Amino acid sequence: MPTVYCMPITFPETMTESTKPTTISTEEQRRRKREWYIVVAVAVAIFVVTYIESHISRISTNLPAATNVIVFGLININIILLILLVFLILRNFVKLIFERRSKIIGSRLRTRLIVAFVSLSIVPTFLLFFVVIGFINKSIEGWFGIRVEDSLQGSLELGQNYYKAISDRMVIYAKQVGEKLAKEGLTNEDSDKVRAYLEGKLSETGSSTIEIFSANRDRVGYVIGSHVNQNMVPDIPLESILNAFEGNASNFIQTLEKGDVARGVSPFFSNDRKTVLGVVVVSYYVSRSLISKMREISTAFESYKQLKILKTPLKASYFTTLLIVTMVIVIFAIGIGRYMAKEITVPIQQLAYGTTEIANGNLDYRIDIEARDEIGVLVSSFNKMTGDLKATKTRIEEANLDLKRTNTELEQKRRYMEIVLGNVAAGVVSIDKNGNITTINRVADELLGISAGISLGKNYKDILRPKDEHFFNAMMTEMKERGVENLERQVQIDVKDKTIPVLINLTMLKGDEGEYLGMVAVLEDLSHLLKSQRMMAWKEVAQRIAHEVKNPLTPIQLSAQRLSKKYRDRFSGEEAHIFDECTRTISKQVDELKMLVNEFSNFARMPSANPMSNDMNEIIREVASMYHGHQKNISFNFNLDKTLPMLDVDREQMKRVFLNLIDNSIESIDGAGIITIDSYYDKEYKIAKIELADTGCGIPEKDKPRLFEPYFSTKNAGNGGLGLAIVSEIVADHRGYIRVKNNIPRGTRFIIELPVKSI
Amino acid sequence: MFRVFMFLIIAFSLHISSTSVWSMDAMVDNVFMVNNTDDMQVSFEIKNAFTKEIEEGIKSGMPTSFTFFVELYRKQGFWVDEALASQIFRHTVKYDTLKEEYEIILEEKPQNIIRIKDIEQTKKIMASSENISIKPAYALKKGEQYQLRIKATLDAVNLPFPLNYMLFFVSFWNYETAWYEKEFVIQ
Repeated sequence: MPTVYCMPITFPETMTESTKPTTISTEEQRRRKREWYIVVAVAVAIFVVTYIESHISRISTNLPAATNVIVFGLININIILLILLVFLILRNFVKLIFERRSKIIGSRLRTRLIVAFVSLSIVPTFLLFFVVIGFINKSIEGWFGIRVEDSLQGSLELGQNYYKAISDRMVIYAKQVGEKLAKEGLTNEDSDKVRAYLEGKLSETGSSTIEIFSANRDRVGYVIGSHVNQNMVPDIPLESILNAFEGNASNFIQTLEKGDVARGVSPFFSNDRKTVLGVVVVSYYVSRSLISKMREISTAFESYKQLKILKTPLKASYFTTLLIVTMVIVIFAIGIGRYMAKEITVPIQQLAYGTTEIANGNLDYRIDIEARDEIGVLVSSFNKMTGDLKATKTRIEEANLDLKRTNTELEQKRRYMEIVLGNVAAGVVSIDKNGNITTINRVADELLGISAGISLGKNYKDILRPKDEHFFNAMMTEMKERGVENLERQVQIDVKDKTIPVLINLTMLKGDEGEYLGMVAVLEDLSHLLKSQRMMAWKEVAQRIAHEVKNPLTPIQLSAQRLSKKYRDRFSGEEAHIFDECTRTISKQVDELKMLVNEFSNFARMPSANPMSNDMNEIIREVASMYHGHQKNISFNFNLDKTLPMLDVDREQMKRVFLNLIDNSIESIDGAGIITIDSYYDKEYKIAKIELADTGCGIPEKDKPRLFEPYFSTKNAGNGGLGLAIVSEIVADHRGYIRVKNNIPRGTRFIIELPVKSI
Repeated sequence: MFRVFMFLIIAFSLHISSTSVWSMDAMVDNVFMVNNTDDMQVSFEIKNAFTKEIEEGIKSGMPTSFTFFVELYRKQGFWVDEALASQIFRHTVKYDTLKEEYEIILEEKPQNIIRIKDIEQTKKIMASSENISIKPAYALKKGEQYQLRIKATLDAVNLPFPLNYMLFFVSFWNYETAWYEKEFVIQ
């Protein structure tokens, strides 16, 4: 039994356990188990059906029971297997149709192959089938043709007529003998005359025996031919004699073991024909050889008649047999077709599936089909290709991993460098040999006035301002001319609206082999350095002034007072007035000088900050309260942030900051005005911001850059222009920052920013 | 699996149905019983025993047989009935085309071959069984309930080999009557 399987193959994204070629899947095991069930069920069914049929059927009772069982068993096996095959084939066809509809890979090719095989087998098989059926039909019709029937009928009638003629002759002979005996009056005598007559008649007619029965039923005459004996022609049945005595003549054929006997029985009557005088029986023995010949004719006719009755079933039987054979051929053709199709399409399906798997990245997929033909070569090549692909992929992946690792390290280094560059106070710019910027940090961006993030990859000539570009070009030219690889120059660079001193260190970059790679420039902002140098210089100056100036001041003042005391009386009038005014002026100027010297001295010896946790709002209120009632034309507004946290500041120094600032504001206000002090806390940057705004005359823009330098004042201040310098110093000591802005609509606004967690 | 078993059942049913066709008309009738000391004599006949096809088959010379089954049981309530006696015998007819006469062999009456030319008389003899003697294992007792069962089957026309195999599915001459069952009590 060819078992045809049709395994629907779909293509999942990745290979599942069931499709692994080296293991038997659970589905496969289940299928095999199911097939075993079917085999067992079919075997049981065949056994049961055979058993039942051999018991219930009476067709072949003349055959041994074992033969019946074998025959029925074979028939049942054939029928059931045939039906099973048809079922399996149909099922597979249905599956094939569904596979085609589902567009499963390989189904089209399989269908085509099966259709080709089936067409190749069905067409000639059915052609042969119909031709053979035609022949059989014609032959069977020929068997039962009219001629055959007529000839058989004629032969049979010949035999029948033979028997009939003999019988008829026998009864005629019997009548003749009876009439003769009645006429001659030889009725009751067994005389020699009668015997002679009977023997004469026997030889004349060729009969086997002639018997005469008297009226009292006794056989009174009996002659037998020499060619027969009494065993061949036994006594006639009594019923026939009795029937004849009733006046009826009859003839019949008596069938005996040794042959047939034709009997003619006739009564003979008295003259008045009213009395039966006796009965004559003439018998003729029909020899066995003659009977067998006639029996052959009759058997042939009987067989013919039986076959004629069975003509239609016989045709049906032949038809069925032929049909079964045809079906077997067709089914086997289909089975072989499916097998061949499977042999071809399954590897193709596997290949297609394999390509899908490989396309999905599963390079472990292998086709597990053993074939020695070209498909085997194809499968082997495919498996080799997959293996090679996997090896290559593994190598690429390893290389990729190395590359990634290196890249990560480089990226880490780059980021580290970026962080370093981003956090150094100096600006760093590097260019390649083409002049394109390869590195630039935030400080460099600020110093060179470049928007952050747009300069990388661009040529420095396109990015730098003409003035800056000129510096760089000049330095490079100088390096070229002098043949040095490093050059340092201090230049003034415009940053926003101010010009700051910058130290540019330009270094040539060279590779391991000395090839030119580009330039790196380090830009250092010198403004803070210069400022602190200036501040230090000022402090030293102040200290020396204080030292040099303060000493002679007291003798001058004392001398002036002594002059006034000793020589005042010597002058009068106008002179006295001049003298007084001069001595007062000397004394007053000495006081002012003292105060100035003290300021210088204080500035030079300003103590370092001693920060402690303080409430800045409270410090502001405390300072402002000192002005309460003294400045009637000036009002104070406070917008203080209650959420402002405690700050680590030196209370006294901070008070001095606000005193100086408020003094400045009061001085700048001519007449009435408003001083506004705001505080608020920037949670994001953790900065406390205090803004002090006045509605005074404001500060010209040109003075703003030097506003916080010592001895710089926009007016003739009594503190020698050190107030804002001290403020700036204190704020700087607290790691804060102070700047000045114009107040809207008028006046000045000082903004102090202090870190909340300073020191 | 379900589909496979369904298919087997259908195949089996089709196959079985093709092997036996029952005559709906033939039946056991006119049953008479006579209880003697030693045996019991039963007479009966089969009504509508001959169909047109059977008659035609017989006339074409096919030997045809009726097999009769006569069984006697003692009723035992809910228990299985006890078989007391059974008789199986056969009537066979064969038409002699040469002599144009029917040769009937009645198995219950050995040494007696009946030859007659009349088909109607032949049919009557074939379908009738008279005074069939059934000898039970022991004498029937008064007051006990017994059951007589009679069935007749027309054996298939004995086709010559290999027609008997070729035409194994041709079964329209085969039939058997239903069991005739009659319960009685000996008085």
